[in-house]
Amino acid sequence: MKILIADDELNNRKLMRDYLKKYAHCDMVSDGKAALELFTADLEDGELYDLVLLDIIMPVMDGQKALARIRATEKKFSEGKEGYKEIPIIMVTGMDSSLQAMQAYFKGGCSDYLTKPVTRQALLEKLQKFNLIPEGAEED
Amino acid sequence: MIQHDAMISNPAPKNGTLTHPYNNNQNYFNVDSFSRSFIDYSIDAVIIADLCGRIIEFNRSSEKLFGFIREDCIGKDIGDLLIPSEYGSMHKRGLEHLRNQENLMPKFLKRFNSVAVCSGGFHIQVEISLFLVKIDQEIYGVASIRDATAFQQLVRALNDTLLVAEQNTESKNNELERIKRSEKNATIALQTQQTVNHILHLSLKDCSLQEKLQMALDFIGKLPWLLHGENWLGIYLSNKHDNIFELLADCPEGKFPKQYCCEYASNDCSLCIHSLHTNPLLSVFVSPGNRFIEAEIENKFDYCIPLISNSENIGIFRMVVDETIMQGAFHNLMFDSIGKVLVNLVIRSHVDQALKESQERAEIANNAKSQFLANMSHEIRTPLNVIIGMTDLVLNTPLSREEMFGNLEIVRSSSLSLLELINGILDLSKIEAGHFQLESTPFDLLGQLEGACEMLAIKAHQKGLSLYTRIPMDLPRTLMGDPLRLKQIIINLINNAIKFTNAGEIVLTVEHDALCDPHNGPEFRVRFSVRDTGIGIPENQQQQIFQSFVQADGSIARKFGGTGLGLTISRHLVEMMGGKLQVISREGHGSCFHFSLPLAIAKEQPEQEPWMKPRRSDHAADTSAPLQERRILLADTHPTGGEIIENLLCFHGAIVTYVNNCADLQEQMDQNVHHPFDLVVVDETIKQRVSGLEQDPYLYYQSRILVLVSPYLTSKQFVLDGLFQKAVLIKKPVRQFYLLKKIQQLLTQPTGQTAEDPAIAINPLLSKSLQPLEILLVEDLPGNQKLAQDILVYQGHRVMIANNGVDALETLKRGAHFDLILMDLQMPVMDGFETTRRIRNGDPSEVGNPHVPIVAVSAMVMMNERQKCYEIGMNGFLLKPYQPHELVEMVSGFSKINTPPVRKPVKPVKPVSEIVLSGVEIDAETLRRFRQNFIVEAPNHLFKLHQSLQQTDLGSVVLECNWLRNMAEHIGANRLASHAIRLIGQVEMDAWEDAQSMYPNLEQYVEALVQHLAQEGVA
Repeated sequence: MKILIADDELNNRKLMRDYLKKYAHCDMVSDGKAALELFTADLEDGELYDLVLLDIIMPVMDGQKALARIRATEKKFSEGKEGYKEIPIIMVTGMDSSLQAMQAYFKGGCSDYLTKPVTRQALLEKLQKFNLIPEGAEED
Repeated sequence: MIQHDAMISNPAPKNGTLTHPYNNNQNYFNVDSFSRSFIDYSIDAVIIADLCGRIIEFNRSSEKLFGFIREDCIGKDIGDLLIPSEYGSMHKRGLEHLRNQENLMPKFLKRFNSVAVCSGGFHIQVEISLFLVKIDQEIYGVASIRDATAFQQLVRALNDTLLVAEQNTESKNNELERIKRSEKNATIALQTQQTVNHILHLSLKDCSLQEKLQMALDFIGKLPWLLHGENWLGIYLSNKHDNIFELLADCPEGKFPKQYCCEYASNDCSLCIHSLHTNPLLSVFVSPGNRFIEAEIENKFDYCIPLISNSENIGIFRMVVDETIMQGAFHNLMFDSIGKVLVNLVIRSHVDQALKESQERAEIANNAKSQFLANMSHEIRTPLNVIIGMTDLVLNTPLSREEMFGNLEIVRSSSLSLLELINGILDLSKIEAGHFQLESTPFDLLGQLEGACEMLAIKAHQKGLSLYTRIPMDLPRTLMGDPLRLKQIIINLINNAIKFTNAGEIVLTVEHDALCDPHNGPEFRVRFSVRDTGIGIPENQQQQIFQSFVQADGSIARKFGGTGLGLTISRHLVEMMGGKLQVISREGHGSCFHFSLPLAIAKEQPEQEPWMKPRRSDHAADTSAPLQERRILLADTHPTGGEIIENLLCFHGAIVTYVNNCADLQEQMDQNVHHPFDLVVVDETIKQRVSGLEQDPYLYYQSRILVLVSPYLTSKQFVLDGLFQKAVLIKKPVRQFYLLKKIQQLLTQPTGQTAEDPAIAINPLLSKSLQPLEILLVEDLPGNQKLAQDILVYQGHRVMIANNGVDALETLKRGAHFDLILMDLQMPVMDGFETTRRIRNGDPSEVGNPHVPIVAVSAMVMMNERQKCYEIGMNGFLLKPYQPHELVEMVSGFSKINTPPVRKPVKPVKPVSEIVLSGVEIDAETLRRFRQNFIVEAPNHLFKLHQSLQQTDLGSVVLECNWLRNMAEHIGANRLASHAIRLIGQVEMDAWEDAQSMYPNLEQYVEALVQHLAQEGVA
């Protein structure tokens, strides 16, 4: 399993990596632009990520913009390819998880969201939700 | 005869029968009885006289009228008797005229009113009829006289009556006229009043002042007493900024561009008159004492009414008035009321505007409060996220001790940043509440700033950035101020710069403020600036970032100013210190934050920081003299860093030769071999650009060498790759006085000795517990021979040198015993592979111990090279150029145990996917250059990257990866960028093994890419 983590805080990246390292290989980037680049490269190489975690407030390119660009890239890529399933993207927000804000993210194509502080439990539940790990996997 | 005039009217002859008076009787002249009776009994006075004026007849009525007795009058001259003296001469002339006429015939002469003299001298009004008669062939004059006094009086009375009557009539007419005028004025007043009402209502409209004024003029334009014509209405308002009046509204359907500026108007004039210009230039102005000025131009009255509010002239209302309708002083009242209502409109509009703005401000403040809370929430959650998550991991997952410590370290650093955040928020709230106190204490400016930079240099280096300080030497050392807060500001700014710069440099510059002369008084201004080569800030957001934490969108702060808290606090602190924090920035090129502070020069000295203490004695001994006239060769690839050091050295009198690459450095040293430099200062970066330089030229060169190294250096990395082994190292950023002190020490030492300072000299790395070894060094280059020999001998080993494989085999054949062979792989005559093979397969009589440990020493970095070495039975591999400690460690391994170090299996290398280059939006020539550049430089960078990975030097890895990433972007190699990004992601995590395992893929890709580009270039 391959997961892309985008967060401008090094410690947050470390935390997410530590949460996930048991289950997946993690690529870590500190801004949306780098996330987009990695995503695009792997998409073209046919080595798709299983999950993308996007922080919203990031330098260079923020999460919302990266989300839009990633979805656009996917759309372009999947043209004429049947059975392509959008890769789950989880927005990680520390600021505003109001309905209004989340609606904007969902409209932009995000699959789910997590509110900081993100607990391991919460993150693993999301992984289960997207069938990336089996139920009860976090127990061991 | 009474006669006034000699002129004789047309004759109306009355044939008289009068006879000559002297014929019969002296008293009664002889006429017929009829005539006699007529004369005697006539009511009118009848007087007959001859042409000489002698009275001949004077009847009874005459006696009655004049009061004379007939007898007294006969024969007397009529002129003397009856005619007033003033008419006398005229009477005589008349008689003379008659006398002179020939053939004078009886006739009517004239009838007239005159005055006659009565007895006693009274004058009476008389009416006289005068005619000529013929009596006895003689012509006489007859006057029939009637008293006219009473009639005259009556006529006069009548005339008087008439006059009175006329006067009465006239006054009635005037009254009527007045009433009519009043009616008209009342109508005008009513219309004006209505207009005023309309304009008053406009105040309530929700539109701009200009629109309101135009609507007002549309109403005013309907007033009947205005003369329509060209530009007949206009409102000019004073422009607060430059005191000129601007046309804000004009006549309905006016063709004027609004905002027309009145050229001559100024604020102290209240009135102006439209001149004859076709443009309504308001060209005549008078003092505010005159309320209205009018100019009559062909019946047009052009009025300019000042709009005065609180005795300040806010504008002018001008109009052209039809004077035939609007007359008298009455109009002033009308104009005044219109003027006042317009003033009201303007003022009201201003007040509304102010109200609206204050409402908006309140709303913004309210939003800012929510934004502040949202930002706070985000900033506090971010470290909390880590703290909670990491403790969760520690508590709930089985972790090794090391992992646990690692996690706890992260928890600690996040807690600290949370604390810092909370302190910041407290500071900010204190500042905003006005409870924040600044210290004023003497402090060492240079020390504070260099201290701050030293703290941040490691952080900068870890991002592959260079941090420099440019501080003039002649800055007063001890100043008064708040050193902690000043340091806080500088740290905030540099931290931000580091955060938002991905490649390049950050320079802290301190200088005298150009506007202030430092020698001009105890207080002067110092200008501070922190410049980076980061992402920059778009112009429209440059101001927001200073208040982003409290007011603006947190995402702006995140993008350009960290949390924004640091910048907000810094801005406040700078303001409290008497400066203003400003930013100059170009998006994509970097930012420069700068401010200038007034700082007093302190009389007392601050407490010295420990590192500064020696400076005093140095200073006493003399700081600058050792550098005076000294020749120093400075080599630095980095222009900013080089320039700073150069300036510093020059300031102290050194003669500096500056080179920026290794080749020039070599050339300079060669040229001056007979006249060596006193000192060579080399920045460690000088080497990064060169590969294949295996020879240490400095071993033969007796200059003292000083190397500037990055702050990341750990204890095991003191010496750089063996190339500068006898050098003194100084960490960057360089502290001025520390550098000077080191240079002084170096220059006063005898040549060839290394510095004593254990922290900066090569450590004797040999551990006493280790056995000295017999080592055969197979190496063709004398420089490398000497380097390795020096290091190993210094460690206590014995070294024998062979110049190539054949030489080595011969040495072995001679029966010399060796514990270890260091084998260069590329040699003339016989290379390392062949030599090794011959030793391993050789007969003990030929080669001694065929299993003697052999360590390959090679500058070749290809993985298969290394593999090949192991395959043919070598026991170790040392990459050139190596650091002395690497050589020492490698050799030590064979001193204790004779087994080769366990090597991790290299992860299978993924085959390089097809090289795909995407389009880049640059011209073909630039692209070609980029690609050429990449072909040439990529191997160097790859080499350096590999080395940094092995040395776990985070900063260098990031630097190299960023180079690759940038080049990838330039030449369109997207895949390369993603390789580099992934690698950075891992090394940042300290996941060195993962990173190292990623390297072969990256390397292979770069090699394939270089090949691809090279082929493409050939094709």
